[in-house]
Amino acid sequence: MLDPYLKEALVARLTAWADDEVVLAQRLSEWVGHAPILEEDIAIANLAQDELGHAKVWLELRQELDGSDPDHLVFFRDPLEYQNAVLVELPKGDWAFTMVRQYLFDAYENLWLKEAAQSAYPPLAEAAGRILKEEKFHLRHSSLWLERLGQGTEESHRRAQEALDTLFPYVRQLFQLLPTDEALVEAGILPDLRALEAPYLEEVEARLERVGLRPPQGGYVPKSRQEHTEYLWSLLAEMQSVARWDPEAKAW
Amino acid sequence: MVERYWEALKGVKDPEIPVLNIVEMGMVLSVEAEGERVRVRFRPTFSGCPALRLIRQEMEKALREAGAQEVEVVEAKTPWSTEDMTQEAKAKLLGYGVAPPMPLSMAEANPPCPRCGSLQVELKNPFGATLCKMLFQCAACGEVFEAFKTV
Repeated sequence: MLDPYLKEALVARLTAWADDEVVLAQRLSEWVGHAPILEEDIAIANLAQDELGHAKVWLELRQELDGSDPDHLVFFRDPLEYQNAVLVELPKGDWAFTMVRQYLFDAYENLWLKEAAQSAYPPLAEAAGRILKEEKFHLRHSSLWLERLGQGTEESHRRAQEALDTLFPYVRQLFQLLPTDEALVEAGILPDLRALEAPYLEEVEARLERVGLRPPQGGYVPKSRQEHTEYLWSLLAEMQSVARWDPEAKAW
Repeated sequence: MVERYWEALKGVKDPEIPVLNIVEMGMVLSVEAEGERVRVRFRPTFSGCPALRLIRQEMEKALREAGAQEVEVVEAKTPWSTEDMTQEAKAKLLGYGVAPPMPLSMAEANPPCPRCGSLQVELKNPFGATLCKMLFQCAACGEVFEAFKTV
């Protein structure tokens, strides 16, 4: 059993992870029916479905801790209550933007999940181990795209570089701790995300350079997960509209 | 008695790969029976699997038809692995035209073509028509095929 403070801290952490997944899943699903080729339309639907499945895993772990209803959290919280990182809420942009973001996010997920699979909180360790298996395929997919875009045509390279220029600073937000995370790190429940930033940058920058892309220097890094752009409002409005239209419905 | 329920569960197919049942997939962890009350522990294959709800319904239905009055289906958190699939299940997949999962130690290797057996295959996409499969093309015979992901 976790003491009340750790429990509350873990609830906050699980919510942040779940919100990243939900918002990214929604952005990915915007491509369904519009992806450049059929195979990618199918792939991106798979990715969206996976991320949503991962959100479900995190929210069910939260449910075990505080009894909250996952559906209610997803569909009835307002944008200011969402704890996702800005990286995942930015509009989907062009294919290069979507795939560069996916690569940056997949590399982060693969890294921290591997650490979280050693968590001192067994349900988290198990869940992380399970999700990691699936995330390996995500990274394989987005790495291939990074290579195609970076080394494809002049235009694909230009678009990938522009996407990277916009996205890269936001990645650093993923390695910030929530105010309550420190206690979880001390208890061995949560890997120290701050310590993962350097290995992440090393791995990602090396790969970017290999495919001819240049990680930008500096840029704005959001200060907390309470910070959002205007884009989150329209995303949630669309995602939550059906549930809010008929809150009593048992199935949609 | 428990045997009967196991047999009943073998009638529940994986809706996305209808040649396989959930028992040979390794999804059912345990079946306990107390009189006419049955408790089943099972684990999903992929966390985003859209067929979960349907599978649960089918399990309940099959167990009731086998005589259970009360059915409890518990979702276990234990991660599922393709190592938990039986050899028969892998053979059935191959017969169905889907390259079966590789041993876990060879997870990164490409599977041989299920049509001609060639190893000259190329990954077209790590995602296929369902979460559990990816898409390959065989350079030897030209066949485009799906392979079960090794997890």
